[in-house]
Amino acid sequence: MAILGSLVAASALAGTPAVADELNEYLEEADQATYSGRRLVATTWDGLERMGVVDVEQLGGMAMVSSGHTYIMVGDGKVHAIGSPEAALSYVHESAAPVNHGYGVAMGEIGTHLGRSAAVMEITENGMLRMRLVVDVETSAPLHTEVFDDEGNVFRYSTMMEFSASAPALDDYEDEGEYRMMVPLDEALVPDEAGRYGLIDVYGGPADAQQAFYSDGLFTFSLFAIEGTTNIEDVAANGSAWNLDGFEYTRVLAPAEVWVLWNAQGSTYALVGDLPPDHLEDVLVDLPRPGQRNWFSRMWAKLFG
Amino acid sequence: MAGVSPLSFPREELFSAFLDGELSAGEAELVDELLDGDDEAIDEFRRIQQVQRALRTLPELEVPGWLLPSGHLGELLSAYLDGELSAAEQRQVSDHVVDCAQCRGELHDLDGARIAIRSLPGVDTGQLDRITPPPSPHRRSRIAVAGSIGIAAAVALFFALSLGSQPEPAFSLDDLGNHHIARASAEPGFAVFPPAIEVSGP
Amino acid sequence: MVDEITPSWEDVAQRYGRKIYNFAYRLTGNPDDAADLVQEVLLRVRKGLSGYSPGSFEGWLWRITRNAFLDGVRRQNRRPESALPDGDHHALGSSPSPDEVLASVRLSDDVQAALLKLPYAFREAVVLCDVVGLTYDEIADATDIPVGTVRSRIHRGRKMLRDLLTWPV
Repeated sequence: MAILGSLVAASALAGTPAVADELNEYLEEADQATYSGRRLVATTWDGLERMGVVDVEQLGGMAMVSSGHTYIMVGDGKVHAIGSPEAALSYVHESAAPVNHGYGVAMGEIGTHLGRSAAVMEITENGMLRMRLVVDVETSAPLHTEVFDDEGNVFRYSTMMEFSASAPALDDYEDEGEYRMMVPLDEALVPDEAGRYGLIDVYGGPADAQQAFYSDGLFTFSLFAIEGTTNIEDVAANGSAWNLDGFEYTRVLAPAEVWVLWNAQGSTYALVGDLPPDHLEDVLVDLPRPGQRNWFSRMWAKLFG
Repeated sequence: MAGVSPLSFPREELFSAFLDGELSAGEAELVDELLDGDDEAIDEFRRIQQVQRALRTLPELEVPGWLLPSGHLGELLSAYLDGELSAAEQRQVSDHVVDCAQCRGELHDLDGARIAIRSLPGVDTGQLDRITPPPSPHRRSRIAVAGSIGIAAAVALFFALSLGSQPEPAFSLDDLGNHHIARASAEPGFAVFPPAIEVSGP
Repeated sequence: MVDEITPSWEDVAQRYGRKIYNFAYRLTGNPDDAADLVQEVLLRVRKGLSGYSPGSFEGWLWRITRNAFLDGVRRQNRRPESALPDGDHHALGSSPSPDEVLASVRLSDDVQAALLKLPYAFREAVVLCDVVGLTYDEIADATDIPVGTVRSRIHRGRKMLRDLLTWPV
């Protein structure tokens, strides 16, 4: 476990942030980790919690995640959702977004978790604790993860309930499926930056939508812009109204991600990602706001009432 | 909260291998132990057994007649028609031709050709044996597959449905979600966050 | 399984043609693809028989079959279509009553449709085990993966199938 070792050596004093490159290195190792097990994941916002349990097998950057009757194979820019709805997508993507310079990593000592040798890793954002992980020393897999909002509350956590350092079903796995290739577009209709997130690439999404993918190096989200306004209730039956700075959004909570939907400038916007609430609020400020008419109709309204 | 699973693989996998007769004696004993008095385990076992049975009783399809190598009697057929075969060989041919529509067809064609040649002026005509013409050999056809569409067609259909004014929304969160996690899975941070999959919640 | 005598090409066609056809059909759900595969395999067998030294004949044959199938998929780059069995085939076996025929056909349609939804690696493992009837060792030999992986994939494949099928409890 090379990266953990070097991080431990680098932070002789607990809490000394290492460079963001090493965080990137850890994330890539975690991506390639071989393990299987059962995982609980939950997201909490304003007292509302959504929780789920999945079976997971991961090997070579590919993960098979299943719950009940749903199976997906995901990894390396591809997803194959088996059953209903079926989808097989493969993204031709730009190179990985570098971790934002605001992130730092610190290592705690090695102990045990789930009977395995594990170490605590803390990711700070401008000095504030943003994420805490318990990492399996042998495989680099995250055994337990907590994401904090800017008030120190746990916003999301995931924990392995069963863990095994092997994924026999995926061994020697050759992907023979046919995927719909998603190729980046040249032009975007959305801002290059939103909050601390940079626009990485844009694709022609489903339903004549445009999918804009943003990242800050650690968290990511996709912003879908769909032509024409939509009755949000038809799409998100279990959404809740969310008022931010006087603007009305619809928010849907899922165990592993958050959705925000709204209509603006004759388009429908759907944002989905794993970013924490304070990041999300900053992002929305820089995006078209609900009910906002475009420049021309605003001027018209101003001039002619 | 459970710790590391006692088995390094789920017990269902053992049941599956047991049903295939692939376990050692010791492993098979373990299966007996697991099933003993455990209703949940027995249910799991039965479910795997059901699937295995459903697969094993899938009808075994017959290969279309034209597909297997044609003329596998080869030059024997011509020799047969020319009366050049021994009694044993003749029996072999006629036994085969009884069951094989392909060879019957070929025999008929060869016979027709032989007769045509023999009726050409100047050709020595011997005894002409007519063989009962068989039903016409099966020809391969482009089979229209009804009720099935590949992914590309399904997506095109989806687009077609979403154009114009539709009372239903043109997109679903499931679909957008799949697009997002596919793209997100290419990023390093993806590893620490579980993929977005619709799971049951409280 | 060691064969002492190398079979002739005609023997192979006669003895294994049906199995190869069913393997391809269950993997693709498409009678044309299945037919293509049988022809391709027989061609490769014919070419390869002269160089074949007796060993595990079935292992050799299934390796050829599998490679031919994968080459075909890559070449055509076509996603196997979910086809319902049509009148071109006749299921073997004794004549059941019309109701039984209807029920069994519908069920096998469901199973076939669900099979086609599995990722290839899992579908192949299940088809080689339950349709072709190979042992785990034979599957491992044909697909070049460890037996433990074969076992996992078969188990996973069956579990997925079970979930995909609407199964009366």
